[in-house]
Amino acid sequence: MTPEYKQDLKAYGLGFFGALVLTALAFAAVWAGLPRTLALWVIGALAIVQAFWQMRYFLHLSLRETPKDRLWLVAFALLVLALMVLGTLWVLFNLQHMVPMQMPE
Amino acid sequence: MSAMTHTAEDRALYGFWVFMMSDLILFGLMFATYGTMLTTWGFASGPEPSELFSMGPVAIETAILLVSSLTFGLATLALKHGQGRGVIALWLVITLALGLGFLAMELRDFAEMAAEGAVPQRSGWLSAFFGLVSLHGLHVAAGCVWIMVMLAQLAVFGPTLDVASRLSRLGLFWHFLDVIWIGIFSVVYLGALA
Repeated sequence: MTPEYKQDLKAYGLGFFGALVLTALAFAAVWAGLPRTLALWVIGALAIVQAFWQMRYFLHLSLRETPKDRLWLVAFALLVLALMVLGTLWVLFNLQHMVPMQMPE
Repeated sequence: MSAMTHTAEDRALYGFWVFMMSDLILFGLMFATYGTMLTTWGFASGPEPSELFSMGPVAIETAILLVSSLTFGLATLALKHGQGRGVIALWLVITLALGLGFLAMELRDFAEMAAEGAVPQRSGWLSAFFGLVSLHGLHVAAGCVWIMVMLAQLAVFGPTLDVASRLSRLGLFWHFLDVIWIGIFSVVYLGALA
């Protein structure tokens, strides 16, 4: 086992255990029976942290080492994603409040 | 490795990132649609998420995908550090088995839901659910086929530069699917059971 291999293996191991802990915490928030609103905030925050964690350790995105053009591509995609997802939810939930609708029976 | 090959591989890698980011936006809009369906109107008096989901299966599916991300990482390391095609193939076979196990569990979940009358045409929420979760499942199925193709290429050609370059993109795809699954278990399953 070369030192380089050991170092790479350590990075994957760290990525895996970090993801495992973040996942376990999200499930624990539900199992522990936290109040719903608090649980949703905790789950949402853990999901975002884990997404960046996995991008760092499994997809190997790094602010220092990844080529700049690829980082800009990812950053732009995340911007478009945020605009479209948050925009959709914002507009549609606003419409729901403004348009009188009948409850289906 | 010549300068030409290096540039060609970088270009292919960049192109694959463009594909993944467009795929990410597709998933994002499926998530947004799903979110808008989490209302009384979306449920249309049909079965609701908290009645249909349980923690056990989703915890196991999440664990399977996460472990498969690690085993693919070990295949990538075996390739990078020249451990030979046998070791690379072994980790790929394990990853493939985990992928197929995940799909089997997901199909069982779908069958159980259908048995309770929770089929895609029952309500807007169920249409959005099956659209989003099956889209991810189809990606995993495509990833499994891709692993089989790469196992065949590995057996025929060995770990050549071309094969290594394709495996690195397959690795990105496989890890990407686990990132999408974080969104699915958090929003769809834990969001309903919290």
